[in-house]
Amino acid sequence: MIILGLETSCDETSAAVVVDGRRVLSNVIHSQLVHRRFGGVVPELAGREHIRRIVPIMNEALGAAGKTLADIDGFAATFGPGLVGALLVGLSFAKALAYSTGRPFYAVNHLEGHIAANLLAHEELGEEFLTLLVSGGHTMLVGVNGFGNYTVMGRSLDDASGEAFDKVAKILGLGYPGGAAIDDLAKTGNPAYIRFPRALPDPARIDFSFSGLKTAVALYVKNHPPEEIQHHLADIAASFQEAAVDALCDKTVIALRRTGLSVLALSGGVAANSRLRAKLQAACDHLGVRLVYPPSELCTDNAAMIAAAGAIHLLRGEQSPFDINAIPYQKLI
Amino acid sequence: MDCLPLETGLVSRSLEETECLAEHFYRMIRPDAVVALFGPLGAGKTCFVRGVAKAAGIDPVEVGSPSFTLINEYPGGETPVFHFDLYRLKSPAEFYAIGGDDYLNRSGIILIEWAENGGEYIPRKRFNVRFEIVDERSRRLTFSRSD
Repeated sequence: MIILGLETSCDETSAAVVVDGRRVLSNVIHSQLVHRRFGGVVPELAGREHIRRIVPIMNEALGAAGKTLADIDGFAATFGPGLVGALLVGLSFAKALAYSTGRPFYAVNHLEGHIAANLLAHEELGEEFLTLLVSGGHTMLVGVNGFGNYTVMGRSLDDASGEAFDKVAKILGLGYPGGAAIDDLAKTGNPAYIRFPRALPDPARIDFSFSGLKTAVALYVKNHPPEEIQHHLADIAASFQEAAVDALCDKTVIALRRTGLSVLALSGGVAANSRLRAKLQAACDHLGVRLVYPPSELCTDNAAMIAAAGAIHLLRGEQSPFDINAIPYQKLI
Repeated sequence: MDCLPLETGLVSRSLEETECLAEHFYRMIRPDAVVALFGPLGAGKTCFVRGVAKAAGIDPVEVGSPSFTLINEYPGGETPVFHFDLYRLKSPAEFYAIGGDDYLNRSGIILIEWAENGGEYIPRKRFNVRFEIVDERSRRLTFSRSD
């Protein structure tokens, strides 16, 4: 079953062709990284920009897969959560494609897409694992007991983890994207230079909070002379990263112990962070848990994971009605 | 609004006090008000939105930072609350690009963090709340109204 997936929930416009929900033929992502030298997204944030990009991006995905629309057996697109004007572009486009070709259509929850990313990347992976989703927009721990059967064990009560990295990078005057800049700089810094607060240390709670950590870094920078901050930039970056990663690791270990699950699947843009991977690997080795994460193009927002999630539902005979709407505040369950 | 001290502002000594102030603020504004929030990172803007949402009958757990998604919608209360965060905007024109203007005619309270990044696209008739960091825990909130 060949599925065309579309993802337009936030900034990325992406289209992908995926076979049987397991094999990626193409995964085209309109990346903002090419705009790094401008210090952000140029010319405009997505939203209505998706309308201009969606057709060429889809054609590129079909071309790279060596397919035409006639080869596509079904369509999948994100319906939420995200920005409503952005979501509507991909969702309406996929509905129109399905309607005009007479092929089935499935509206995918973006968060379930991130869970499917690991199934796509690891063919042998069973359907029981703990997912730690860490991105610019989301931070959550989800127990997966079969695809479609989820238990949300914890989530961020304020800022997402990726957002904390981006904002602290801005406070420290580092480049964009902030996550990669902090990761690189922290490699030469002392993670024990400052002990920034670890949020919600109570082991009975699995939720996260990153707003206080961000504020602590902002206050530290405000209360110290600029020369001292510049001199210790790598130490401050490493100390911040250590606090953020510790919070993620500690709560993940509690969730693994509580569920007894033997596989931890890392997903989302922050999954690329080297310190997070190293510390989770050490914790997983200690617990006898297998750690998996997808390649970077499946970590960030991408249409391949949406196609994969859609394919799993379509293969089960499930379809979405054409009157399904974009739901910006959609939850996982 | 007139009973709030406009010149000197109010000093909140904790996140809880900021949230509580926001709950009182909610009771003084109409359900279609636009509220612009100004202040640096970590000054308590999102916390203030949480207080307003809570007073509107929305589960405060739903309130998170929309820096990445740009706009969060919180339905389910006595009035919908739209939570904008223009932190990532590079130019006011992007306010239109993200579809921000679509919300201005919908019924509900609109709270806009980093409203200065929206420039002339932000309605002139609105409330303004300025946040200043006084020390580690304390924040000064100054309220004003413009038309």
